[in-house]
This record gives sequence, structure tokens and C-alpha cells, in this order.
Amino acid sequence: MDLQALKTQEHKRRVKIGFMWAFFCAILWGIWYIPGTVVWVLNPFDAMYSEIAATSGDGISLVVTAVLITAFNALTVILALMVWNGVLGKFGEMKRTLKEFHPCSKWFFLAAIFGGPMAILGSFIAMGFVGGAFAAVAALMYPVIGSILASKWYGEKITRRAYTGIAFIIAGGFTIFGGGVLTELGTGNISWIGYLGGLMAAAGWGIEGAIAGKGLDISEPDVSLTIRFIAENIIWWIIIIPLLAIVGFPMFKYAILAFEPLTLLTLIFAGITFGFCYVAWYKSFPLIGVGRGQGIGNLYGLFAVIFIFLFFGDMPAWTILLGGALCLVGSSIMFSESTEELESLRGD
Amino acid sequence: MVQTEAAMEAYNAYWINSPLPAASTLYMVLILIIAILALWQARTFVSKF
Amino acid sequence: MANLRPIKFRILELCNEEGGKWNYEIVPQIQEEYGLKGNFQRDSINFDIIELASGGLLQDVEVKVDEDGIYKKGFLLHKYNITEFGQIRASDACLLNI
Repeated sequence: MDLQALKTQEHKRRVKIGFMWAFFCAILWGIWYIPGTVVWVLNPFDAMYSEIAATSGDGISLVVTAVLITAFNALTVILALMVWNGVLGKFGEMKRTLKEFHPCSKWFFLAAIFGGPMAILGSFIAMGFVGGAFAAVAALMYPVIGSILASKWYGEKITRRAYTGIAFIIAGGFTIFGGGVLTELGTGNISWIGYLGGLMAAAGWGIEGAIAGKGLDISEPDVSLTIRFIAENIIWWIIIIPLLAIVGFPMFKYAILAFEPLTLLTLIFAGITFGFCYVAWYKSFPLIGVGRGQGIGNLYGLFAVIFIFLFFGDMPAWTILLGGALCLVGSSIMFSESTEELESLRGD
Repeated sequence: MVQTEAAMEAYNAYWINSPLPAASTLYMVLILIIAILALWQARTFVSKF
Repeated sequence: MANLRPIKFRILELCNEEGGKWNYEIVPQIQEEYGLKGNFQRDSINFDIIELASGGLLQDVEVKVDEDGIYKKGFLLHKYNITEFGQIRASDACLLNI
């Protein structure tokens, strides 16, 4: 084979693998909704929710309970990532990267702040004060923010074609959750804090991606993501949970009660899906760019609907099929882009 | 703490309408399969370059 | 040996040479320095180089087909040089000798 053909083949392969990781992310994110949903009805979280709701109201109770669930989720994510890094033999590199706090790890601590408390908490606030469908739609906007930041900030090349693909996937997401949003907004008297939550979710994940893209320039994705979750654990367990406990919420009482077999098992499966989804997301960024990685990652909306149908038997409405079709159009627009464009992801 | 009856009832109610048998176990099996697939890809894809 | 920095840092240092450096020179040198054995580790280091190039920190200065199997037979061999952008990012990372 001649040189030129081999070069093209190498590019194609790199891009294909980038898309493969983004896809893994979307599938795992979608299936995360199964353990992520059922854990709420299990002890001690159901008891915690009712106790706080009785004194502080439903909205606040949902957010506070969500903090504890998210903190446990971050803990089981670390377990899953230890397995991941162990299989890939990356512990040595992890130590080396952690030591370089200023140039590398700093970025992942920042990414953790935006992706963790800002995005996840924002998403739960949107859910608690407006509704689940609204929270999902708001979160779908994150690739817009992520890709704009990545192109402004370090000149990531985002072609018109990639933008078109991202737009289709977002439109698809809107169609999937849109009906629910209208009903939720139709009930009236929604407090502004719910909309703020939605904005926090979209901005948080978008900013996280752009920051991660910068840190990933000079460190390995598997290692970087683990550091990001170590940081997230510190934020939840050392800062936010003690703060909530001081304010008077029964955080530690219920944290200890969470050591129950079925609850732990569910949390562990939530950790595997969340951790592996995130590591796949980070692996895709250096190969296809933050904009495309996030755009394809957004297919999680479609996969969530499919898995919820398979395991919970919730029949999807026709709008979901239409939205799913839009998502597929969007992603095939991105796949079919000529790989020549992707030789280098950054502008000249 | 063990699960209360009410919690188990709510938990079981999630899976009851699933078209798949033993959905509450099957989802864990599916996650394990996808996770192992991802790990296997992560171990092998670099050899193509 | 005691103060090894992350692998991508070391790759950038090695590619800061006049005229660039071949991937089949970089990979074994890093394997040796960091004590990383086996084909998977070899390919991982090579993939780090590819990620750096994809991110625009390194650029190809020469490419040839590995006809004789000096690295991996039938695959491409790349000679890389650090880009201006790569130099800026490296100095952000306190790689002093760049």
C-alpha cells in the first residue's frame, strides 16, 4: 500500500475510534438511568426524602437527597475507575500526573467543580423545582456551550457540518422531552430557581468539557478522569455534605444507613455506568474534539428512552420516535464528515 | 438497615412492566457486558496504530 | 529516575529537538525510562503521541512506511516536531528547557 493511502487510513481509524468512545459514553449514560432511578425508592434515601420534605418542602428535600446520592455515586465511580486503571496499568502515570498539580491536575479539579456541583446539582434543582423533562432538555444544550468555548478558547476547529449535526441531535432531544416540558411549564407558578438550575446544568457540563479539553492536551484521559473524580469526591464529602450537616440536614445519619446490600449493589452499578461513561467521554475528546464528543454523547437521551422501555416497560410516545430519528440524522451527519477535515483538531 | 416493605414494593413495581424476564437482574448483566466490552476495547484499540 | 514527569510532558521534551524525532525512537526510550514493558504499554505511548499530534501540539515532519519492521511492519512511521502551540502549552506546564 502506498504512503498516502496508509495516511488516510490512519486518520480514518483515529476518528472512528473517537466516535466509538463517544458512543460508549452515550450508551452507558443512557443505561445509568436504570440504577439512577430505582435508587431513589430504596432505603435510606426514601426515608431521608420524606423526613426532609416534611420540614423543608419537596423541592429542597429533592436537592438535599440528591446531594447524598450523587456523593455516593461519585464514590462508586472511583471504585469502577480503579478497576479501569488497574486493567490498563495506569497507576504509575496517575501518581506522576497528580504530582503535577499546577499544569495538569488543576484543570481536572476545575472540571470537577463545573461538572460536579454546578452541573449535577443544577440538573437536580431543575428537576426538583420544574420537572424531570425540563431538566433533561436543559442539559441537552451543553454541547452548544462546550463547542463555542472550545473554539473561542483554544481554537478547536468546528466545521459547519459538525454544528449541523449537533443542532439536529439537540432538536431530537427537544422532541423527545418536549411534550413533558410543555406540561410542566403549563402548571404555572414555577420559581426562577428551577430555570437557574437548568442553566447551571447546561453551562456546567459545557464548561467542564472545554476545561477538560485543555487539560487533556498534556495528560492521559484515563488518568485525568480519575483525578477529576477524586476532586469531585473531595467537593461532596469534605465540603458540601459537612456544610449541609452544619445547616441542620441529617446527612451523616442517612449516609451511615446507606450500607445496605441492595442499596449498595444499585449504587455500584450506577458507579460502573457513570464512571465508564465519563472515561469514554474523556477518551473521545482528544480524537474528535470536544464539540463532536459532546454532540454524540448527547445521544444518551435516545438510549435512556430505549433502556427505560426495555427494563421498566414505559412505552415511548410517537414524539420520542420522531426525536430519535432526528438524533440519528444528526449523528450520521457527523460520521460522514470527511476525515481530511479532522487531521488536526485545532485551527492554524 | 434492611429494606422496608414499602421500599421493596416500590422497587419491584419498577420492573413489573418490563417486556424482558428478570429485568432487575438482567440490567446488571447488560451493564457488566457493556463494561467488559469497553475495557476490552481500551486494552486493544491502541494496537491498531 | 526519581522525578519522572507525566509521559506526555516527556514526549513534548523529546520532540523539541532540532528536526524532530521519530516515533520508533521516542517509544522505546520512554519504555526504558519509565520501566513500561509489553506491547500494550508500547502502543499506549505511541497513542499518546498521536493524541498530542491530533491536538495540534506536535506536527508531522516526515512520514514513511515501516517496510522492514523496525517498529511495526506495515504501519506508518512518523517523525514529529513540536508546534508553536505545543511550545506554549509546554511552557504553561513548566517544562523549563523548552
